[in-house]
Amino acid sequence: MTRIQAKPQVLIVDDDAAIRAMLALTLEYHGYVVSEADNLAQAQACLAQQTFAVIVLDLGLPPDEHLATQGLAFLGWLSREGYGAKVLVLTGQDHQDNAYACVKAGAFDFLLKPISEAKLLSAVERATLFFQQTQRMKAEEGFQPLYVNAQLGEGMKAVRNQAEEKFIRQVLFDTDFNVHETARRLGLKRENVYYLIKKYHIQRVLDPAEDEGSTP
Amino acid sequence: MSLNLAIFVVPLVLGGLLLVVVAYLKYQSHQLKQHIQNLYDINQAVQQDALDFIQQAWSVLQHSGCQGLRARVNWFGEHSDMCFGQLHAQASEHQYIAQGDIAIELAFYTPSLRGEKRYMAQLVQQTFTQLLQQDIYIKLNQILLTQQRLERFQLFAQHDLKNLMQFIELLGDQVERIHSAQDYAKLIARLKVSLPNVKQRAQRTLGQLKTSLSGDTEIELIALQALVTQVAANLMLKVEMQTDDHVLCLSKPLISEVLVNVLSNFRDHGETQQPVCIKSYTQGAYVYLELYQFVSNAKRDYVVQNARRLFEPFWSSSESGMGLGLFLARSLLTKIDGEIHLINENQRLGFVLRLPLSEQTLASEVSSVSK
Repeated sequence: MTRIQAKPQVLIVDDDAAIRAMLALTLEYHGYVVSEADNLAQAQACLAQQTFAVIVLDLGLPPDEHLATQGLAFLGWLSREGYGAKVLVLTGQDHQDNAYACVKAGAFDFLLKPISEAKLLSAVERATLFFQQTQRMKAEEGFQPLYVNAQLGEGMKAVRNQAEEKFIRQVLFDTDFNVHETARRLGLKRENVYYLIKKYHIQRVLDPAEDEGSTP
Repeated sequence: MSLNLAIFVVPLVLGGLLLVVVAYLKYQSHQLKQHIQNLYDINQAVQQDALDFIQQAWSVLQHSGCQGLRARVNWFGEHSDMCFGQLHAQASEHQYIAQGDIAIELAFYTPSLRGEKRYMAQLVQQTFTQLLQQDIYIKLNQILLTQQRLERFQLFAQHDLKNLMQFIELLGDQVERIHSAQDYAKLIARLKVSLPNVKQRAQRTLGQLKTSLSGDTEIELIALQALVTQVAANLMLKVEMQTDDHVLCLSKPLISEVLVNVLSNFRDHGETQQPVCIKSYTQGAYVYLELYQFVSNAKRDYVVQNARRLFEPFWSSSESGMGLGLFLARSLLTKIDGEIHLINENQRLGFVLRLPLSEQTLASEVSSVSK
């Protein structure tokens, strides 16, 4: 997995080619390196190839372009797999329930279409700043922030498990699924790491190209 | 002697009496059957409209022995009284039906009938009340469905318009910022790619708003293969073309709209990994365009099970669909003597479109035949 580059990388996930084009043009003009995806599979392929600071995500993606299901599924997937990119949801679906679901799934911001260029840039800048400072905190102090949705009144075991799962996923993601390195970073034995991988059914997300290559 | 006579006569009289009673009951039951059948027929004829049904069903109730009927109606807040026949001081039976914004209080005025006549009159009245109840239920359901569809339609149109607004908003900022030839070239390059998409989305939204195109669209020469390729590319569909380059003389917006609506089905509900195979051939004055995919048994079974609903307006297999695409495609094709049918052979699933080679040719053929 490549590290973040000097110019902030932004991934635009929107099924509307025209919106993608205009967003890309705007962000490129302001110095961002932009990649585009028009569906979830393409977005996942992009994420497997490089690290993004910010993802601008439309909720309505094919095949349910008038619903939020695909966008929310993608948010859930990003959170589960441990991608650190800050997600800006940019959508025409201004239903309060969607905003709630996005916050719950770990979105960084919820923006409504049509949005002005100034507001968009301000949101992207803020998200980039948060991403960069999080990376710095990790590199300089070894801190890993975790986003945990804890259910109040359910005791501490569920919270512990969730935090443990997120933590192990995150470190595995950072080490490119290197168990030896993960064990070293966490101060655990390798057997313990294998146990946790099995316990939480963690699987490595492969780059589609890599995946094809491994097929006999 | 007289005893012997009585032995013969009494059974004969009793038998005769029994026959008369049986014949009478048979006649009454036939009458009852006829009355109930009439109620069903009337309800059918007025298309399950509750108010019309009350109006028309009175004659049947009257024939079944009812002397008067009063219906106090609250129809979405509008109150009215519907009175038929003679209304006495005291009604013999009351029924109250209330659902949603509709309430009807029925009062039946029946003379003091006895025995089977009373029983039969009650049966007719019960049938009448049940049918009325059913009509109200249907009416409220129709209203609810229409309301839901309109809300959904409004939501979808709003969503598309917001995307369009977003595009215009960002484009405006881009245009304002152009200072160099390089900026200009970049913008033009992006617009070349994105404008066909904007056009297609706007057309789709407009198509949904209009629900049908006017018949006044201009007829022009259309290269079918090029048009299909363009529409498929706009929808980002993988296609395998096996078509000759047929030239049609039809309305291009109409044919584009049909193709968008049909091909969108493959994008939204088809097998994403499979290309859409497109074949065409000519037969008489028509071009037949086959669009299909090779699909799994599960997908085929699902479509076959719902085949009769595919062209129903507002019916969709997914929450995000408007359920208008295939309905619109068929409506538009009907305007130009075209047709669309489902293809379901072996693993092939899709549609075959019958397009006239030329609308003008057909029109002139029709007029020459009529002369």
